[in-house]
Amino acid sequence: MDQPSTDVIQGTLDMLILKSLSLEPMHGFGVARRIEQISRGVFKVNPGSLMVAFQRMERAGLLNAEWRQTENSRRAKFYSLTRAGTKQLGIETEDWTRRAAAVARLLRAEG
Amino acid sequence: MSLWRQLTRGARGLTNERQSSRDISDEVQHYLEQSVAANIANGMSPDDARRTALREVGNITGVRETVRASLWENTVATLLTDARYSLRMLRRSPVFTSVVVLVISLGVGAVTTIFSAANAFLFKPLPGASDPSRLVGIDRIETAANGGTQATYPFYTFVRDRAQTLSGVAAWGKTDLTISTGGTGHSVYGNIVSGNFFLVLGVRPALGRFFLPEEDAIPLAHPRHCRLA
Repeated sequence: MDQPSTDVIQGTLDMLILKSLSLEPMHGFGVARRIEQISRGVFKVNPGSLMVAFQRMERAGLLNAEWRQTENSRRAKFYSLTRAGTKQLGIETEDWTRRAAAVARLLRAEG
Repeated sequence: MSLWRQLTRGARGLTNERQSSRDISDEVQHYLEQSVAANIANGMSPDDARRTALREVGNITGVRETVRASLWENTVATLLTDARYSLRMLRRSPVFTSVVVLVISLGVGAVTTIFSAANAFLFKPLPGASDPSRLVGIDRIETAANGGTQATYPFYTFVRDRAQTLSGVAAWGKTDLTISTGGTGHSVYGNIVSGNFFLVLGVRPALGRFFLPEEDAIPLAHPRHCRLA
């Protein structure tokens, strides 16, 4: 990892969380790990921001949270997508693709 | 649905503050352990793994406070704490408290009284009148004196008979009356009005009748004895 990792782009954290959880229910660290790995270390999620986002999204009805017992008898909170969450992921993905394409076009434009 | 979630989760957080803060601690703690385990799996020594993970997560209390601060019930909890604190302070100085309570209640009472009076006199339409917005007052002004003076009865009849823009003109004056009830007389202050007074105002009696035209025959007179029901 030669290049330093950065925080996720502002406003995209929710989308990245939704995407990670659309694959399988996960706990907080799992989500952070997945975002870091799939972005090949470009993005690093701050745990504090992640927890705040979880709380907000759970209350907005996008995520379901469930406590599970781990092997070493600790409690771990697992998150999964609700139906509203799945729908929201679709909306945000479409929105992001549109914007990213626009920015790419602007950067390519010459003169 | 999500508003309901907001409310119920928030209320749960308020009523069971310890549980909700333990939940957040447990979650952060679990995150930390997972992070340590991942670092060890990447080949770090346990000490290094722990240090790296702690650096990444920051202190647990800090994260917990960040999460709590983002929730609406935290604002309510702060308000409740403030309210409890002020109540405690008020109880510690009863003299100050009673003076404050007295001043505020007097103030509120005075304002309420003044407003009720102003409301009745200035803002509410005349009760009973059919069309208060078309009601006008005619005053006779004496140029020599400052202010109005009473009109004579002939002046009233003159205005009444010639008024063309008004649907009717009624007159009223003040008078002293005596009301006897069971042998004792009470001096009261009353109004003497022309027979068409209620007709002009558009007031209808709930029961019975007002004056008939023939009862209005004698100017400035009123029945000598009034029987009050």
